Amino acid sequence: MTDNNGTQMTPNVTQLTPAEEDPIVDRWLALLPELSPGGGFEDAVMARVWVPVPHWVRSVQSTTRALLNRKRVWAWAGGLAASSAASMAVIVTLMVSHWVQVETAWSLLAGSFLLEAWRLGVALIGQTLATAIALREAWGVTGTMTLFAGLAGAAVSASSAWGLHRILMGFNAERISFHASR
Amino acid sequence: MRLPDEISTATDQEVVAWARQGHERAYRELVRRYQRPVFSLIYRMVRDRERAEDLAQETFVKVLNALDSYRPQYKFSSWIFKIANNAAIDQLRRRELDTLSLDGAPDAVTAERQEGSSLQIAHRGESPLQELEARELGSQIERAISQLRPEYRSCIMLRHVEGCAYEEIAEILDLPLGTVKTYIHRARSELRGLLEQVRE
Repeated sequence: MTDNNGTQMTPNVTQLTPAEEDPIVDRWLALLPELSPGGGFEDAVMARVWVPVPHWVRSVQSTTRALLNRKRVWAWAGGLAASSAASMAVIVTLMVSHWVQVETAWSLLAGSFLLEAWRLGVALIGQTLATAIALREAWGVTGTMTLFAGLAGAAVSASSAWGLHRILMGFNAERISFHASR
Repeated sequence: MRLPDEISTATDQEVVAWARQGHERAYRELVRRYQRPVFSLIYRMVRDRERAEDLAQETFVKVLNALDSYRPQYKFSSWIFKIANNAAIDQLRRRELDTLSLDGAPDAVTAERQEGSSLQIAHRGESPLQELEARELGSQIERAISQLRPEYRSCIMLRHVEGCAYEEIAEILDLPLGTVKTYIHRARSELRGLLEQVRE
């Protein structure tokens, strides 16, 4: 850039626009190649990045956690399970005590195929029960012992469910605090 | 906002929004989009491939783990370049580096270290001879750039390699717009002098 006398002028750099840039230097700079990191860069980054749990999963988790922490919910769930079990017991008792009527009703309502399926199911259950009774007699197990065994089994199931629940809740909390501390 | 099958054409803001919702694919897309520009910028500042890779990784980890603090009214590229540049400047402050070599880091004394620290240039489909010439020319330009002051280097890289506007560079480097223009002008003048022989 020169003035009328041909002397070199210092450009006002604060008013430079891209069009006034040095085209030769720009051409040289345009030759600079694009550099790539080594293979596996993306995976190496992703291994250290915590991807948040999707929003809908978080809301389901928090709702479930809130429900599980309420004693009333557990009472309702227990009551529901007990009433379901009682209803089932009543139904089974009624069916067993009115065997002929049930069979007749099945044959009238569902035809021969379902009747055969019903008979097969009953035979299987009957056989299982007979085996259990035979074993009980062979080992000399009394009624009280059977009751206690049943109660122990129920307690083991309940504690397993509780343990699983604790592990799942503990895992979530641990994972969140682990990532938060990084 | 549902994640579409094809996200490579989406804007940075959209991809960030998907990432915030917990879509891993969106995170990977951001890495794919910016791994080369970020690595190039850092490499040209620190001039050691291994160190540049570590710093580029740190940059991405910092950015992606803090996506919740990103404000969409600003350009995502400005944010990531700012963090990358700060990482490179911190590294330079910690350690004085010597002259650039495309064959490896200045402190590379063994063959493995040279191999590990040498450049991996993105393939442009050139013949071996063209590639060699480009490599030589590139080496001279890289060497000239390496002789600039770090702040000039950042400005010139962001302007000419990443194509940032002056205003964006000012935002990235936390400098007044006038200072950015001055730095770029001076950097060009110095480069012109350093590359005079090559131009002839």
